[in-house]
Amino acid sequence: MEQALGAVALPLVAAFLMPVLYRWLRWRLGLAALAVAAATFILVILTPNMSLVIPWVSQLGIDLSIHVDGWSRLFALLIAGIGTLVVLYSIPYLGSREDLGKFYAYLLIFMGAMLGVVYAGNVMLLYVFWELTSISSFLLIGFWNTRDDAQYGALKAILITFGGGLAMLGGLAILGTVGGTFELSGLLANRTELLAQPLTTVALVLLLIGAFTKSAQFPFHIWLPDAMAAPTPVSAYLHSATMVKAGLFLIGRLWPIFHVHPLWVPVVATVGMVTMVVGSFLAIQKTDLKAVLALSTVSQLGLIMWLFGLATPEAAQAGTFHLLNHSTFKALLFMVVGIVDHQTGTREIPLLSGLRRAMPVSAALAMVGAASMAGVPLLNGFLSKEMFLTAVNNSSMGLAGAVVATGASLFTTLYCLMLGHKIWFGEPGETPDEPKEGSRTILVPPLILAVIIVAVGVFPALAESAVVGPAVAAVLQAPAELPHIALWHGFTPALLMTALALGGGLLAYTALPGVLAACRRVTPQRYHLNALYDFLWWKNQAVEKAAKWITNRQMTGYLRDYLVYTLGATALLFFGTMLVKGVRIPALNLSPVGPWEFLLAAIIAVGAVFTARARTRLAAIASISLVGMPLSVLFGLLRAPDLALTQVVVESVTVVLFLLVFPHLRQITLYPRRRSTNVNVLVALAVGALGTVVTLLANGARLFPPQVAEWFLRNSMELGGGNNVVNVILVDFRGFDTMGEITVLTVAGLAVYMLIRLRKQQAGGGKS
Amino acid sequence: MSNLVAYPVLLCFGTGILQLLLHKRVVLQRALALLSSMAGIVLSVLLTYTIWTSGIQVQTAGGWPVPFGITLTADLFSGLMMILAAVVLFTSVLYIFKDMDAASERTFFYPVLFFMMAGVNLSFATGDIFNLYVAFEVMLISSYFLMALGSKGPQLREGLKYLLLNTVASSIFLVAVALLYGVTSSLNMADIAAKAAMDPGNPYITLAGMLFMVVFAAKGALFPFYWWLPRSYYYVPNGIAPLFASMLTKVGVYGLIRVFTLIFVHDSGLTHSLLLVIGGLTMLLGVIGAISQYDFKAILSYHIISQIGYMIMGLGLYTVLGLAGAVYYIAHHIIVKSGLFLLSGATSRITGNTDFKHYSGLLASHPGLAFTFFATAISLAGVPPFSGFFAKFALLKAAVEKGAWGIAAVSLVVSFFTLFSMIKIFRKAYWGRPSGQRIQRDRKDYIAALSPAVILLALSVAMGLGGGYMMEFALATADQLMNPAIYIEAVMGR
Repeated sequence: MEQALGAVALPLVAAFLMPVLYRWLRWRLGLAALAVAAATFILVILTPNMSLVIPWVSQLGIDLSIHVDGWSRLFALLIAGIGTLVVLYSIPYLGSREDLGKFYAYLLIFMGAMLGVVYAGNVMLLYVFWELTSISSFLLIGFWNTRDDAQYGALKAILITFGGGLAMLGGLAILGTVGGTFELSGLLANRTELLAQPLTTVALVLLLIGAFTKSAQFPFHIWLPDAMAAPTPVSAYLHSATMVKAGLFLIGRLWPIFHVHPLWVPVVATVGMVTMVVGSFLAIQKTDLKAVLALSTVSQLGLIMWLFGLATPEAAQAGTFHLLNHSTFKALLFMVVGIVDHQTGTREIPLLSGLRRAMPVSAALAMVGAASMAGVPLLNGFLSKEMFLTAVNNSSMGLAGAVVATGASLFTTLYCLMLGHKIWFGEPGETPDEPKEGSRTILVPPLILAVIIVAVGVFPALAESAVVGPAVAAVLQAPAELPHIALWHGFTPALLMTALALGGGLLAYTALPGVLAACRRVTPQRYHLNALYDFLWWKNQAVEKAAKWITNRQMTGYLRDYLVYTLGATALLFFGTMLVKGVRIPALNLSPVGPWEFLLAAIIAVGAVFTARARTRLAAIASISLVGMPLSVLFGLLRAPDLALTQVVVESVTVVLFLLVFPHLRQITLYPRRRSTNVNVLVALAVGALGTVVTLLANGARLFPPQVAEWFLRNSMELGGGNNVVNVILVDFRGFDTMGEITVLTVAGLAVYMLIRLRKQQAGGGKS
Repeated sequence: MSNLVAYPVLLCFGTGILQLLLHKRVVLQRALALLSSMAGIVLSVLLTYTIWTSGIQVQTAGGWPVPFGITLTADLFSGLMMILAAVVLFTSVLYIFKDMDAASERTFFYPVLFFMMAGVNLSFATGDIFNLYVAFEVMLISSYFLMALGSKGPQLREGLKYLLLNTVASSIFLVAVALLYGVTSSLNMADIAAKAAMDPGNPYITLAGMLFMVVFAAKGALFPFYWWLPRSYYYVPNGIAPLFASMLTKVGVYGLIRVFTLIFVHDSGLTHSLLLVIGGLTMLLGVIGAISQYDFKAILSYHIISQIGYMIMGLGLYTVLGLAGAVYYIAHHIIVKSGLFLLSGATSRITGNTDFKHYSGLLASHPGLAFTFFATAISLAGVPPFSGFFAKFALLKAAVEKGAWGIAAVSLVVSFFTLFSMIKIFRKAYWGRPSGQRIQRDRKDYIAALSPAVILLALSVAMGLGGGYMMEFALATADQLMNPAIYIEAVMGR
C-alpha cells in the first residue's frame, strides 16, 4: 500500500519543489524531474493489487480510497513509464532558456494527479484528481502564454473539459445518492438495484459526457487539436498517451456496472464510431504535422471508445490492447515530429520532404510508429487492429459496422503514409533551418518505444499475460472465455478488412492531391463546431456580450430605478403573500377620528404631493415641513408630548441643515415625464399601503398577551427607578440598544467631520 | 451564563473607543488594531470551543431576565461567524498597514473600522431582533464612513447609493420588527420562535417573515435587491475592500439563515421554496454580471452576489446537509473572497490599475502573486481539493437528495461560468506579453502585501484537505439550526 500512496504523493510533492530547485539547478532541473519520474515508475511496478480506505470527508462519502487492479495497473504503467520517457525527452527538447521550474512542476502535478485518477477506489476521489489533471493540462497548454494560440488552446481545453467535469459531477452526485455510496466496490455490488432506478439513466448520460469531453469524443473533440499549442513533450504525454485516456479509464470503470444498460451500446458505440470517422477524415486534410497527429489521436480514441461501447468481452479485450498500443506508437510519433520541428523549424507537410537523408534514425522510428498505427503485421498495431475489426464484425452492428471500420481504417492508412512516407522521401525541400539528425539523448526515448512496439508485435503473449489480461479481467469483473492474442489467426474476415484498408490507403496515397481536394469539398468550411466555439467564446465573444446586455438592462446606474426595483419587489412580496395566505386585516377597536386629525392628514397629504412635484429645492424643503410639522402636532394631539418634541426638533434641524448647504447644491434636474413615472407613482402608493397595512396589523393582529410591555410597566419604578417607562426602557432595560445608537451618532458625527475636511482639502488643492 | 458571548463585541467597541482617544497617534492605533484583531481570533475560538463542548451560550445585558431585557446568544453558527470575522479582520489589518494612504489613516480610520466590526460581531451575538437592527445600523454607518473616506467623485456618488438603498432596507427592517412585535409581543428571538411554534403556519407571522426576507436580502445583496453592491464595492479603497466583500453581505446572509431557521420555519413550503428561487436567480444573474466585466475588481464584486446565491440555496433546501453546505460555503467564501480582493489590491499596487486594458503579463515578473491568485481563484470556482469544492458538492448533494433538480443544474452552470471568469482574470492580468506600467517597490514591500492573501489561501487549502473536520463542524452547526428547540431551550429554559 505504501507504494500506491507513494506513487501518487511523490510527484505531487516534488512538483512544489521544482520552482525552488530551479534556482540552484537551472538546466539540470530536468535530471531531478527525471529522477522523480523514474522513482515513481519503480513504485508503480512495485504496487500490488490492493484496496485500502482512509477516511477523509466521510460525511459526504468521499474517502481516500485506493483500489489497484489490472485496469489501474495498465494505466499506471503508461502514466509513469511514458512520463519518464517524456521527461527524458524534454531535457534536450526544451533547452535551458525556458522556464523549467514551472514546466516540471506542472508536469509532475499532472503525473501525480493522473496516478490518483487510476488508483482511486472512490468515484469522488477519482473526480478530485480528474479535475486536477484538467488544471495542469490548462497550465501546460498555456506554457507559452505570450502566444495567442497557446491562450486560445488552453481556454478551449479547460472550458470543454471542466464543463464536462461538471456534468460528470452531477452524474456522480446522482449515482452516489441512488447507489448509497461513492465506493466503486459498493456501486459494483449494488449494480442490479442501481440499474432498476430510472435516475441512473440521467447519471449515466452525465457521466458519459464527462468521459467524452476528456477523451475528445465527437462533438467535444475540438479542443484536442488546439491543445497542440503546448510544447511537444506535453502533447506526447498528456494529449495522446495518458490524459485523454482518462475518459476511457472511466468508461472501463463504468463498464461492469453499465454495459447492460439499454443506452450503453447505442450511445457509446455510436459516439466512438462517429469520432473515429470524423477524426480520421479531418486528419488527412491537415498540413501541420501535430494537427494530423492530434486528429489521428481523436480518431484512435474513438476507435477504442467504439470497442468498449460494443459491450462484448472480446471487444473490451481488443479495446484494452489497442489502448496500450496506441500510447506507445502515438507517443513515439509525437516525439519524432517534435524532433523534426526542432531540427527543421517547421511542421508544415508541404515544406517537408526527403528528410530521410539528413535524419535517417528519425525516419526509421517514424516509419515504425506509422506502420504500427496503420496496422502493418509484426507490429503491435496490427494485432489490436485485427482484433478491432473482428470485434466490430462479430458485433450487433454487423456488416454496416465492418464497412465503416474499414473505411475509417483506410483514412488511417492514408495519414500514416503522410507521417511515415511523405515527409521522409522524395527530393529534399527548403526548410527554415538546415535539417540534421537530432542529438542522441533526444532519440533514446522514441527508440525505447519502437523496441516496445516491435516486441509486443512479435511476442504478444508477453504483453497479454503481464498487463492486458489482468486489465481486461478487471473491466469484465466476470470470467470470460477470451481468445489469446496471436500473430496469425488464419484467413479471417478481419484479415481481408485489413488488406482492404492498407491496399485502399496505398491506392489513395498515389492520387493524394485529388483525394484531398475531394475531401475538402465535402468538409463544411463555414458552419462547423469550431466556428460555433469561436462565435461563443473567442472571436465574437457572444457569451460575454449577451451577459453584458442582460446586466446593462438591470444595472442602469440610476438610483431611482434601483429604488423602484427594491420597493416594488418588496410590495410585490408583501401583498402577494397576503393574497396567497388570505391575510385579512382584523377588526380594530380604534378611537374615533376627529376633525382635527382629518385636517392634519389632509395637510400632510398635500405636503407629500407638493414635495414630489416641487421644481426647486426651496419649494421641496418647504413642502417637507408641511409633512413633518403637522405630524408633530398629531403626536401632541395623541398625548405623546415627548414624541412631538422629538419630531419638532428633527424637523427644525433638517430645515436648518438644508438651508446651510443650499448654496452648494445644484438645481434639481428636471426630466421629461416618462412612462416609468406611472410605475413610480404605483410603487410609491404600494409602499404607502404597505406601511398602513403593517400599522393596522401590528395593532389588530396581536396573537399573544403583551407580557413584555406589562412587565416593563410593572417594574419601571421598582427596578428601574423611573416613572417614565420609555426613559427607563431606553437607558436601563434596553440600554444596550442605546449604546449602539450612540455609536451610530458618534460615527455619523465623525463622518460629517471627515466629509467637511475632505471638502476643504479638495478646495485647498490637496493640502490639509 | 457566560460572559464570553459578549467579549468579541466588547473587544471591538473598546478598541474603537481607545483608538478614538488616541486619534492623533496613528502608530499606537496601529498597534492596538493588530493586538485587538489577534485577541479577537483567540476570543472567538475560545467562545466557539465552549459552545462545542457545553452548548449554546447565553448572556443577558444588564442582567434583566429573559425575555424582557436584551439577550446575547451564540450557537455554533454565531461562533463560526465570529471566528471568520476575526480572521479576515486580522489579514485585512495586515494589508491595511501596507496599503492605506496616510491621510485617510489619520482621519479616524481605525476607530470606525473597529466600530464596524463591533456591529458585525454584535449581529452574530445578539438574540434580540431589535438589537440586531441596532447592530446593523452601527455597521451601516461605519461602513459608509469607510467607503467615503478619502474619496473622489465616483466613490462618493456610489457610496450615496449604497447608503440610501441600505437606509431603505433599514426602514423596512423597522417596519418588520414593528409587525413582528405587534403579533408576538416580544423582541427576544427565542421567545418569538417559541410563540411562532405554538401557532405554526400563522399567516401574520409568515407575512412578517416576508418583510424580514426583504430586509436581509437587501443587506445580503440578493436578487432583486443587489443593485447597490457591484459599483459601490468597486470603489471601496483596496485596503478595506476585502473586509467589505467578505464580511458585510454575509451579515445579511447570517440574519436570513438565523430567522428562517429559528422563527419562520412553519411555512417552509412557501418561504423556503421562494428562497430557493431567489438563490438560483441571484447566483445566475451575479455570475452573468461577472462575465460581462473586464476589470479585476469589478469581476470580483459581481461574484460576491453570485456566491451569496449558493448560501441561500443551502437555506432554501432546508435540510441538514443543505444547511451544512451553506455553512461550509460561507466559511469558504469569506476566506477566499477576502483573499481574492487582497490579491486584486496587491496587483493594482504593482500596475496602478485594475482594468485589464491597462496591463497584462505579470506571471513572468511576479509568479508568487500569479499563482496565489490562480489557486485562490480555482478554489472559488469549486475545483478540488480546495475548500470550495466540498462546500459546493455538499450543496449539490443536498439538492440531488431533495430532488431539487433545477437548483442543482443552476449551481453547476454557475460553477462553469465562475471558472470562466476566474480564468479570464488569470489570462488577462497574468498571462500574455508584459504590458502597462509597473510601480517599482522593493521586494519586502511586495511580500508584505502578498502575505495576507497567502495566509488565507493556506486556510482555504486546510479547509479543503481537512474537509472531514470542516464537514463535521458544519453538520453539527446545521443540526443546531435545524432544531430551533435547542436554541429556544437554551435561552428560555433557564
